[in-house]
Amino acid sequence: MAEEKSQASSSKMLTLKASDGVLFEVELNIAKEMKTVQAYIDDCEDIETIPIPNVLGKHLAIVIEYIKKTNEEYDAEFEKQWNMDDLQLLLLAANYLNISGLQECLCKAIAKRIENKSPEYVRKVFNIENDHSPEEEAKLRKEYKWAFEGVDKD
Amino acid sequence: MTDTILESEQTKYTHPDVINAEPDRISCLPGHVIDQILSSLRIKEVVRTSILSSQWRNKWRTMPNLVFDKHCVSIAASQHPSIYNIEFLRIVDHVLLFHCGPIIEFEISDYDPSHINVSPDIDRWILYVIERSIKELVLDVGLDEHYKIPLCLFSCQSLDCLQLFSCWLKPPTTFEGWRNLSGLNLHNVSITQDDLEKLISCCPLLERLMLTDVDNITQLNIHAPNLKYFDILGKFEDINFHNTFQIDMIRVSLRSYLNFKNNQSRLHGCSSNLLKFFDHLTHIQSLRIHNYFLKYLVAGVVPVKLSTPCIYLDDLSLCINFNDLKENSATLCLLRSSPNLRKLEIFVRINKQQTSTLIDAEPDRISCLPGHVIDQILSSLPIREAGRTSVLSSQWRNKWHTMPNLVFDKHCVSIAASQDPSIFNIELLRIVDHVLLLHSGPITKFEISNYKHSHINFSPDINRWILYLIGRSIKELVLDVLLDEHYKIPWCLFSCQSLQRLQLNSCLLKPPTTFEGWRNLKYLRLDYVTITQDALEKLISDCPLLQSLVLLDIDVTEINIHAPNLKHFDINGKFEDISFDKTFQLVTVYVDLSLYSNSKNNQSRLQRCSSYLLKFFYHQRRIQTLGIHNYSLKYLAAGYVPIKLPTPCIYLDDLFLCINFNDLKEISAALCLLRSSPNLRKLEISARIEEQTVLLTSTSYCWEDIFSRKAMPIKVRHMMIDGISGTKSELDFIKFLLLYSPVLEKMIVKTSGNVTPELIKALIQFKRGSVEAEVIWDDSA
Repeated sequence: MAEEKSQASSSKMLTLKASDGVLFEVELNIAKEMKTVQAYIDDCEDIETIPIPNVLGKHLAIVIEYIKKTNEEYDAEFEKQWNMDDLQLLLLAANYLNISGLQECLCKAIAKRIENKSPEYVRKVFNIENDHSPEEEAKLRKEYKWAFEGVDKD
Repeated sequence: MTDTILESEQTKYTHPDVINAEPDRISCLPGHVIDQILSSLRIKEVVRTSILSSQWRNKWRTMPNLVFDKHCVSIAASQHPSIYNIEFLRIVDHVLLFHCGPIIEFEISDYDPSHINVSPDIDRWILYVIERSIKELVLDVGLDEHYKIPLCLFSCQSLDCLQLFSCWLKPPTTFEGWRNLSGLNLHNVSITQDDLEKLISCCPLLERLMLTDVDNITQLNIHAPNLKYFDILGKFEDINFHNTFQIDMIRVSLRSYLNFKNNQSRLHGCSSNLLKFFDHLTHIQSLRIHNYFLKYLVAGVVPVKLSTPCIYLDDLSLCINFNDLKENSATLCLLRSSPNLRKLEIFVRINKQQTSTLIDAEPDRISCLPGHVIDQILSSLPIREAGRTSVLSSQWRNKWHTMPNLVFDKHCVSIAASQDPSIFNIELLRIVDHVLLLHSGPITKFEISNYKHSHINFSPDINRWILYLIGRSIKELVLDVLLDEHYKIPWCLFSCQSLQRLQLNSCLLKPPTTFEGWRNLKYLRLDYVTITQDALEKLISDCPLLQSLVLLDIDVTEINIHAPNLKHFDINGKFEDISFDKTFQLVTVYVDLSLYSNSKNNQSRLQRCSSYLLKFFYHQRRIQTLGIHNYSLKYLAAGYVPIKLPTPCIYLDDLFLCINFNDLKEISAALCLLRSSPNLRKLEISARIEEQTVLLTSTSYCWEDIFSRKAMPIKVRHMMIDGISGTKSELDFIKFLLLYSPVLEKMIVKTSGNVTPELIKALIQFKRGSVEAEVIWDDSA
């Protein structure tokens, strides 16, 4: 049984079901890039539809397209298209599905957006609520003074 | 908003400015994902995240990649080296103090405390990171003496990748290698040869090895069964691979080749460095052999090709000294042994020591070419551009000084200066003097042309240049200068025996009586030159190798050409008689008589010679191309005109005739020529109008008498007749041509103005000897 499967594996199609019910048919070798899915297949051999409860349909679509197309040029263009919302959810999706290439690409993309920017800017980009008291903040700034020199203007 | 603020972290403080509507996009990501994001940022930025919010205060402390370089220290501080160094130290200590968790990567670079002794600090840091299971360590510290790597590092078994710059490696005797090390990069590191070999062989998982300027290594033995990538740059004498069958990529660059005794004796021990090198490299895919390494490889025997071909070799880059035969052979050997090679790059190495200190700098692609090749390249450039090459580099400063062809024409002088003739000439003079002053070596060609007419007398200057050129074995001289009076060629030129080509324009040639000719002259062109008939005839006959002679506007009445080697002859002017003496090699002749004079001399001459036509062709056995222009046919037709020549011109292939169709004799002469040229393939005829001649009418002659004599078929395929105005004799001639040309394909007829329709009709009606013949009417102006 397992042998038959492996011979036909290159053309076998698999169905992935996103959290909002959207179905995607992908080839087995594409699905294998998602190590979580791979683990799922390894566990239950006969499965045809695999549920992906943490990822929305639209993000799953982007992930699948990334796996199909990925190369250097594509990566460079890929990261520019998304806003912070999408980036975060994509990153979570990549993390859950355990796709190392996509995860790396997205982490670099996020890092690029906050490179050499002031904390105020970073807070704004990520919507981080600043709950330091002014004294705490001042103390930290003084202690790591060297880290706060030479920042880009916002 | 409250006035009193508690410093306890348990009380959540709400900043007055935040309107908390949208969720935080990043803080909820899993820890390792945040680490991954932060690992792309520099330490400074990472530490800054501590003030983003209380949640972020400590996130930076677990970041696993610590890279300390010049970006850590602010620009203000980095101006003063001592402040920079102290800052640097503080930052590293500070971060390490607060850090917790494993450290995967630790890098120190751009740190040059020089004489401040920071060794204890670095020791401390290394100890610290070892305890944190460091995997990748990069150390690039510039101390006065190489930093001695502490012994504790040698027992760190978590190391995966190690990069050391300017350090001193002395492993303890108990050192058994780094079990997990896969990448090693040593740059300007002090280590003994034995220690290095042992190090390499004791790291079983070593895949990537880079050695740059690791000195004091004479002979390197590499035992590394898992090695895939090897790169070495430096000065070594010998390199041996042992069971390195996995190697994919090798880059070797030998800075200098030493001919020490060790090297010599080693050579006797091993028969072929090339074979030895490739013995253990069966899987090699990419190979770079740079600097002097090829020279090392060719020591010993260079086989025609390797015993086992490098079937995986795909990409080859070589630096060759093309003056070394062995290196050439080695290159060919490699090329023959690489059947699947797809990319080939070759650099040319010159014999001198490379003084560049850059690693892998691209060699100069042109300066090292042999001198005569550079001369050839420069000779295609105008003098101005060749002179400009002097600023390319110090090496190029003088390359143009040996350029053998010097052409000075209007391109030398800038456009601004060339408007005013006198300024132009002065500029040109200066440039010639300047170039000749700096020039060295033989001068093959010297040309001055486009000299503008002005009243300044340049004779002394030109004399000076000619004298100079003679001393440089000038072969080709072109002088085209327009002075008030013809420039008198100095006598020194007549004794210059290196001359092969001479072209003079508007000069005065008065050879000394002792002149015995130019022994090597092959080409002579005199244009509007003043010379006597005797001098000219003697000149021509005294140049035994003369092959091409061009005489334009020379004022002589008679000329006798005695030149047994002459192949090409072109004369244009007002002469009364030409005779050839033993010019059996003549292949191309152009004769253009611009004016026919009926002087007394001419009349008396006619009595002495019965037929100019016969006389002209007597010595032309081999003529292939003949151009009879202007009044030349009138001259030739004077005297008796035979029906055909006694010896046909069997080589005559291309004929141009300028005929006065109202002169029966000229027509007869033309017909005679046509009858005597059985292999003529190209015929062009031009009609000449002379005012004084009487028009030939049908009563003046009878067609049959003149034209129908037995004619050899004319084999011409393409004919052209120009200047036709439609007279009877013209038409008759064309009729003759059409009738007797069995292979004629095209005849182009051009008119000189008014043409009657009768003319066209008549032409069409003519009977044609060739079925294919097409008569094309061209009445374009």
